[in-house]
Amino acid sequence: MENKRQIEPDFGGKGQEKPFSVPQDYFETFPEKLQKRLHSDMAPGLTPAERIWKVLQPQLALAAAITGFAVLGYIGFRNFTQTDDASLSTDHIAEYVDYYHHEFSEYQLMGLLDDYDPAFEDDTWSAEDELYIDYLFQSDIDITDIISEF
Amino acid sequence: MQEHSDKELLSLFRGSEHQNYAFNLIVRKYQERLYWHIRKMVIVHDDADDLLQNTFLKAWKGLGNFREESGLYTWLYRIATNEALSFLKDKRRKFFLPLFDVGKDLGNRLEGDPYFNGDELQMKLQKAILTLPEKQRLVFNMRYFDEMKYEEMSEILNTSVGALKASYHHAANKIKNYIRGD
Repeated sequence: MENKRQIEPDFGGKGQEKPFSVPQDYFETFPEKLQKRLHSDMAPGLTPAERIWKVLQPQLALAAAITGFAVLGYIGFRNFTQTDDASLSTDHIAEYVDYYHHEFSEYQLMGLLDDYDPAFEDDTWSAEDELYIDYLFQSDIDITDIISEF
Repeated sequence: MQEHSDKELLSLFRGSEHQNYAFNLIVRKYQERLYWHIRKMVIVHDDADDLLQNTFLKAWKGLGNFREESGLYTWLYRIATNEALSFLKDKRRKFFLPLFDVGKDLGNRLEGDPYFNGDELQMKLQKAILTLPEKQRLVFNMRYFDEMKYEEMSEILNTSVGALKASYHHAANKIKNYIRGD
């Protein structure tokens, strides 16, 4: 057996006595307190799946809340930064032309396209398109004739 | 009351009719030793009380599968040690504090602890111990206060005897220097 002096360094002559205490009757009442906790922790009725769910539930709720905030943030950000990119349908053009047919010009049509499509530029017209437009003007074909054709 | 051997307690526990009774005897047999082991690590009584309960709860859940490769006390001591170290780790993580600050925090709590009844020198010794890294503190406590053999400590902490001796030697030197005021 090892000599106690070999174990104990000299810390001002203080031995290994514990300077701590416990509340009165702590060790007498501890087993009873533990039994109560054992019964509450091991309460029947919880299946393994339910126990896992009980553990995961707060973490899943937190994950769902974070995802919800992220989605809301993304939608808000998109709404804030999004430009109006509504596309121009054939019906819109026809309706517009029909309404203004008595004073319709190609400039109005180009203006309409430009309003709906910011990417639209005049130089998107090809030489072939210019030929068609010139032909329509020179032949003095009325716009209502074209509309009625469609 | 007659104290049962660990073997008797384990065979009583395995007989399905007496599980609660046997476990209660195990608790009564080891509660004090485990409590003091935990208390010296976490300092505050309420924390030690919680961790002691957790230790026995884990023992209750695992006792059915306990294969007696180590002694019952060694096994319980290992659970208690892990509980205390996890508690201190969580505390550090929770407050984003380096090790020294946890020691300082425990030292401050020690000063206001109604269940600390040591004198000035013992307070200084405890504060010196609290400046050590957690594992060194563990080794020091087990050796100095519990007078545990290095071989037994080696089994509990899963560390070689040589490393434990070195650790204890370093810890003792640091404490001596702290007390001398170096």
